[in-house]
Amino acid sequence: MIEVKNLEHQFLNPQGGYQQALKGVSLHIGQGEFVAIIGHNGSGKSTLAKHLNALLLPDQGTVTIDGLDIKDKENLWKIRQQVGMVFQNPDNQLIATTVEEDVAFGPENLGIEPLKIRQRVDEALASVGMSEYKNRAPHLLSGGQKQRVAIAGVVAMRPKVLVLDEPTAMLDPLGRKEVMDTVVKLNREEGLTIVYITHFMEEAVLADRVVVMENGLIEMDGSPREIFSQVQKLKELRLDVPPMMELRDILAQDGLNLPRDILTLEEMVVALCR
Amino acid sequence: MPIILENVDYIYQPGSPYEVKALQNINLVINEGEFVGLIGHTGSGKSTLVQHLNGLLKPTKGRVIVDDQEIAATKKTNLKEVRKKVGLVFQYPEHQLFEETVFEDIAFGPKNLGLSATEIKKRVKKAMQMVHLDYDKYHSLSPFTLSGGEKRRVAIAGVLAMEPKYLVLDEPTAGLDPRGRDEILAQIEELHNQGMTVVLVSHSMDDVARLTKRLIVMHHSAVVYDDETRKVFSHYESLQEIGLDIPTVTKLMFRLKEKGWSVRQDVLTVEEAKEEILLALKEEKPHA
Repeated sequence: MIEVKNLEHQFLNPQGGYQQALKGVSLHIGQGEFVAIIGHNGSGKSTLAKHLNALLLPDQGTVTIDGLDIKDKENLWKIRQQVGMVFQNPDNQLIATTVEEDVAFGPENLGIEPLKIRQRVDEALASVGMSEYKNRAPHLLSGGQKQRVAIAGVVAMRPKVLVLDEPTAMLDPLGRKEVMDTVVKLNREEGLTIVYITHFMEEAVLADRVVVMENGLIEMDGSPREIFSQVQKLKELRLDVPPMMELRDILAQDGLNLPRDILTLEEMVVALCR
Repeated sequence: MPIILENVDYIYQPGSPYEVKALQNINLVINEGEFVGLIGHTGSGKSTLVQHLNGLLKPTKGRVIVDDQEIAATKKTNLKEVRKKVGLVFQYPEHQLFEETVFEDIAFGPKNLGLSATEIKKRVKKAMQMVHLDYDKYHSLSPFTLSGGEKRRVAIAGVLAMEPKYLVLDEPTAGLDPRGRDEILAQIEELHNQGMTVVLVSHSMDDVARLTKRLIVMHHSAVVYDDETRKVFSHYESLQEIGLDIPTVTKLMFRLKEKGWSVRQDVLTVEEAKEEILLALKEEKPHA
């Protein structure tokens, strides 16, 4: 589905020099996978994400989506239709005066006939649980609702891949949960491939696979269990460790024999009560 | 002297069809030297409350007293004095940066106080030091070229340069990465240790559990809990009912207790949880 090979990208920084944002990243993401990308600001996460729908082009290396090379200009619209992006700030992504018009914007630009647009908009809003709000003004919605409308706008393009760049960073806990539930549902029920950038480890835990980026390179790549059980390494990278993993780690240091890969509270309860 | 809120009501757009009661009979005392957490759902009234602390909003009913300045609906207050005492850091304060250099931006507040150029420079240097921004490296840079975490520190320095006695921060770590968040929180803790009174509005239960001694919980425009942080989190069920969570380790203790373990439930950190679990296991051993 997504094939990234030896990708390098550099930016001109404000001081006039060059900054290497990606230093040779290779990554394969299969159809239907749910991949979380974590890492600090400046580690290259967003730069990588923006290559996935050709918002940025490689300086070195290649990126192909379903076999389509993003460098080939002829593929551009096809790639943009297949890979939808959702960004951090919900207020920057909504443009129309009602929710359904906003969601219809993408399909309209694809030149789809009105009846089919209607159908796509209804389906997209249903898939994010926002059907009742279709006639509302987007600016009066909560943050979590706005992000779900933004996701519906992308879903209405019928993409194969959804790339979300910190979609919950500006939301309160309730909004975060709404967005996360929606993304999980789109992955499990609609089979969308998900690339999800986040700083919240409790969200990354829900993915099939976690990729850790640091300093323009992929530092770790594995299942949430594999990644989050490496407490010391995560601490060296100054990333958050889910509390149960941290607790397991310090209990183990005190000689308590617990499975290495405890991820959730319930697993901890079961392990302790054995 | 403390900040006192007495029977404070606040109504947005009173008398109109859009009338909303945002605060209902709030009574609070925030003492000098305290580190107070303020939590509650979006829409619970937190931000409205916070804006009363430095006179950005005046109570519709009741009064707010900051040291010796009284703020009430019909009263004329020297708000400039209040704002010198109470520094308010809004959500996403970096959106308010506007000057050409970091120095000018931080100096904006002190300049408006009519201070001398030497005093202003002294204050800017001190404020930058407090948020760990190197003066020589940063003072002449445009704030807009900085990273998100750095921008936020510039914005906080702008408030600190006013040398407030009370520092009120509305979700100061929202949107930052874990490293940026830890840095900001460590600096706030340091300011508190140096004697600053701090009120921290947060959605992160883990952060307030770790940092604050006292916790205020708001729901539907009213204060529902105001107690030691530890005690507040022991009301697990009622907090859940109003849509608030408790720290994961506290939750673990509740679950273990349900399973028949004899553990304290007012545990706030991973370290405390470890101690409690090891203790319980040691006591259990003879029966096992």
